[in-house]
Amino acid sequence: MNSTFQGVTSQEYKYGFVTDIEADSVAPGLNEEVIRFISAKKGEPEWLLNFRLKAYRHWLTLAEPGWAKVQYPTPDFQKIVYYSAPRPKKAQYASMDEVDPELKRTFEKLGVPIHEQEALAGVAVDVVFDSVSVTTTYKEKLAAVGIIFCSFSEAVKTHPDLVKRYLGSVVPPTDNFYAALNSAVFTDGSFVFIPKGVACPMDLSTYFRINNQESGQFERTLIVAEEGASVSYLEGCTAPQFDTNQLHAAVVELVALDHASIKYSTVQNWYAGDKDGKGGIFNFVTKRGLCKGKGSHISWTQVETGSAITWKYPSCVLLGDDSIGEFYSVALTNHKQQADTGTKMIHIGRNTKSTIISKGISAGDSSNSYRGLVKVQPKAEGARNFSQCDSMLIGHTCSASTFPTLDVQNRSARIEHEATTSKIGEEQLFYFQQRGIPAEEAVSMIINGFCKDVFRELPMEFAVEATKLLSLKLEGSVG
Amino acid sequence: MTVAAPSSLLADLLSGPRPTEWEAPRLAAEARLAGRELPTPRDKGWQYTDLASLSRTPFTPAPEATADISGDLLPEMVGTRQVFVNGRYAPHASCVSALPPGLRFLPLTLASEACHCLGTLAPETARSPFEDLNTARFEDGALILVPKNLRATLPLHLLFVTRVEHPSAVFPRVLIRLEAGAELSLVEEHTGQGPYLTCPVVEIQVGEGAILRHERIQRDHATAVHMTTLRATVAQGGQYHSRTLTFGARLSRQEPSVRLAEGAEATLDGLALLGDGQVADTHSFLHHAEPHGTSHQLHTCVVDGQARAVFNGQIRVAPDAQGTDAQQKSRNLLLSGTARVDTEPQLEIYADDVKCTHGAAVGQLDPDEIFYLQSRGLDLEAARNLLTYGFAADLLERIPVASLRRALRRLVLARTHASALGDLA
Amino acid sequence: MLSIKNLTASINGTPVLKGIDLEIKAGEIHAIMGPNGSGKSTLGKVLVGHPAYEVTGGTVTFEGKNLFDLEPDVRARAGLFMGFQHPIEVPGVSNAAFLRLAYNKKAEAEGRDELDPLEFDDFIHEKIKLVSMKEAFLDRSLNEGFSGGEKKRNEILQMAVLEPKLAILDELDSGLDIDALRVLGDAVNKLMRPDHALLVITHFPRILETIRPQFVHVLSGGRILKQGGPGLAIELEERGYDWVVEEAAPGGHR
Repeated sequence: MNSTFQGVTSQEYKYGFVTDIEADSVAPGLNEEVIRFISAKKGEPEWLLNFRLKAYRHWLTLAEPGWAKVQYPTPDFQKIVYYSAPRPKKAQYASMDEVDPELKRTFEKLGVPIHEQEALAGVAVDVVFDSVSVTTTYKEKLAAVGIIFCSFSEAVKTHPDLVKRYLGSVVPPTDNFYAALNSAVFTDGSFVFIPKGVACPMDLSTYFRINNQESGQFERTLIVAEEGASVSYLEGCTAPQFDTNQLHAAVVELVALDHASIKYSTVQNWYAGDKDGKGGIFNFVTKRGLCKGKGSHISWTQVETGSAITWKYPSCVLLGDDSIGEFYSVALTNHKQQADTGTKMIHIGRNTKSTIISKGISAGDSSNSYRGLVKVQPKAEGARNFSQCDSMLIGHTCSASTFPTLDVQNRSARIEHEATTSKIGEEQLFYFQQRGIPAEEAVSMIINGFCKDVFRELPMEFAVEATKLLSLKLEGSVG
Repeated sequence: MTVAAPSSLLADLLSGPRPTEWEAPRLAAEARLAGRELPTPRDKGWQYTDLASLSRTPFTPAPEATADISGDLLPEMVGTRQVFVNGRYAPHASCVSALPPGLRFLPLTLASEACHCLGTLAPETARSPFEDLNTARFEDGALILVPKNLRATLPLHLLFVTRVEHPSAVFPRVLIRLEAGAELSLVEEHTGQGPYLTCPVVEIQVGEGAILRHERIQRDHATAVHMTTLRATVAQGGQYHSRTLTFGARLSRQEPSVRLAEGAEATLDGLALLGDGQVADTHSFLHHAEPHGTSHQLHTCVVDGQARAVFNGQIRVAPDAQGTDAQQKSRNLLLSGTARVDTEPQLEIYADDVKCTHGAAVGQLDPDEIFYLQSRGLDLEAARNLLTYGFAADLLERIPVASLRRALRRLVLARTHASALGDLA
Repeated sequence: MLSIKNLTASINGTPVLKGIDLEIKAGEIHAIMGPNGSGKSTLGKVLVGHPAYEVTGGTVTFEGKNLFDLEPDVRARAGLFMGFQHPIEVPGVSNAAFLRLAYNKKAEAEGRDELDPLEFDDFIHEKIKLVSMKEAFLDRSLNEGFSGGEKKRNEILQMAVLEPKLAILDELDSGLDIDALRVLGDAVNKLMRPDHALLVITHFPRILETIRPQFVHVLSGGRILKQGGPGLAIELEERGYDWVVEEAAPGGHR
């Protein structure tokens, strides 16, 4: 190789600080007592405790899934802390002034627009810190149009009927190993409810952060859009730098009724471990949207740049006739990162459509796999799918794989899948350089060009952040 | 899902006498099979192909038989033909008077070289039990040796015929070795009558710069089951071009695996034309083990009735295999409301300087094309049939043997109900 | 401006340039001609720093600086430009964004103001007329799906944007019809200034009817076998290259 591809250096993780807040934690380990403790601590009703216990008992019968193209030591589930809450000075913050100053500094370092003036920028923010929701801004304004945007625990208290109706309706507690674990031990998360006919007036946003070295993050997000409602929801993730692995096993459920639309965007930058693969988050997430109603629309956009291991398949169940599912993904891996990510589009209703655009970028010694399923059930007349899965390799010690599956049981379906693998060619880089553009900037420009079909699905400020993040993550890989 | 009853198939078939020669590999195969069951849909690679019906059928080794092959003769290959009936050499049906000097094309049991070749030509990959079953019990098979720089002008015809009345199993075996610079075209055909299980195993070694063109035609009986394992290794600069055409058998599976050395080239095309309740499964593995290899794979399925087509095409590009160019395409046409296609391309790429593309499409005929033909005076049914024929027959155009090409076109015309449109063949 | 002394270079260990000497002064137009495989394109690529070639000997100075001390992008910003025979396609990167970045990088290096997208829009609007290119090409991905002629227009558009001191044009006429060749040739002539210089690499002499060189060098087997004035190009047009090679062979000249 020429000098352009030499020496992969480590870009320091910008969010690798630890916030020293005395946590209200339970001892490591998992058993029914811990689950009862979590449930009691959160003052949950009996049905929710039973939901947890049922999930836990089922989880005990399951084995960890082994089919993904990732290798990692099995987490010791008895060494994980399943509850870790930043201890509040009061039970509830009356205003931002009462939030622990240290915590606020954390958010400032995170760049979370938690201050009122930043909230005025138009983003309503829920912050989930080691699985416990700290504050939700803009609540009143949203409440005025009937929108509920609050922490999951709060929703359990204030809108138990809604939570009970929809919790587990898309991802049943028995769905898979990590969904079952999450259902048993989730501590908090976000809840969004957009009533009939309401278009949410602003983007809703949640920042997730893992802070405790031994803690797992098990947040639960539930978003329901009633008939004709629409919402755009953004999620950002960071975690401090530890040389041990932390487990993140979230569940996200989306429900869209007739003609409702949910757009869910993620920029995931959990700590990825150092360049030798030490430390980093195990990101084992189950995300699924149910297009329950006629003409409903669910769109997933993800920019996955962090985590040591990513195992994540945001999916759409297209139950309603004429419903639409979309998946736009950029997954970047560097150093020793491993990602196995993709989507499932299950066509059940008539005239359902789905689009999959996946861009995988592998650098360093990383492994990056796209895994997808497009399934057309026998009654799904007129189903349409288009998939485009492109991989780009930077350097010669990484790998890129694609595992798409097309399972078609209806002849009226029209399913197309295309995939390419390319590299940032020496000739391309040289062409840029000959026009006076340095290699680093050339790579950044080529990568952004490669990802542009996905970036244009992101809200503007996220797109800018994503662009910067990719350049940051690849710094030193080329040049 | 049907839960497969504990299979007695493997044990039943192994209970008969062991053929005399090749004792060591046979014993090894038997040892691997001991206590093994047939794969079930829970096993990786078998999710879509249920063998439960197979394990319920009491197969026994096929008895000796004779067959009339006059309908299967191809004029270009009258003097380069070897025929096997029920797994045994049929000398009276065979004729090799036109073989070029030096080229060896003969039954394994008559070939001294075969002792050394068995199991050594191609690298071993994960074995299916059907391959082990073949090794343990094959009666005979064909050996093809093409010496260095010999370019055989006439194609060879290798015909496996099975005639049985009761459920019986046959195990055709083929060993092919092309030395450096050799060139050969081979037509391998499987046909028959009755409720049989055939488990062919084909081992191929293509030497440096050698070229093998391999047409593989499966026209087994509608009640038969066909399970092929094919392993090929292609040395530096060699070429292996194969086309597998699946028309028959109620249940069939092709498992080709090809390893490419530096600068080697492979084509692994397939056509499955399925109707009624047929299930045809292809699990292919293309291994770009060294730099600058080229591979092309076009897999076409036309599925009618309640038939089901399965395609799993794995391509692996090894870390050193820079400059690899791999192209794969899976095209599928569903003709009925109950037909089903499962297609899984799998690309694993460990080298950065590669050009790999794969595509998969499932759908119906293009309404614009149907309309175009209608506007030229064809009725709807004729237009559909013609387009269906075109979709399937595309792959036949490059078959080098003219009489075979015509015969297969006629077969495809009949199967796509397009015969009425005149003699397009 | 450019001074090449006894330059040797190889690719994958095979020598391609076997001792080149060449002086180019401001205001001059030079043509390098020669049969296929003579090393013409290699010379251009070595000058702009293509990573596939290894410089094995000799020196090249550009405006007094040792060229081989500079990265390819630094050479470009110093005023060295190469119009490629086969410009590479870059999917996803818009032509306009690429041109603006290239322009601004040079502006930054020279301490001039960078142009924002709107200002650049006006700027490029003028430049694009010069090469008779359709505006729509600005929004397309860089060279992706461009015809051979469109790619060449785009190369000259980049030259117009960057205004290089020394432009090396490699086989500009390949893929161009006669009208397009005249348009681009005229554009190149308009861009030529007294303090600039041109090095035209070509197999066929027809481009030299529009871009008229004062100096013609015949390259073969990695060496310059013959040098002359404009008349040499005409002679080559009529007689081909063989006679030059034969003439040079027996005496072992150079």
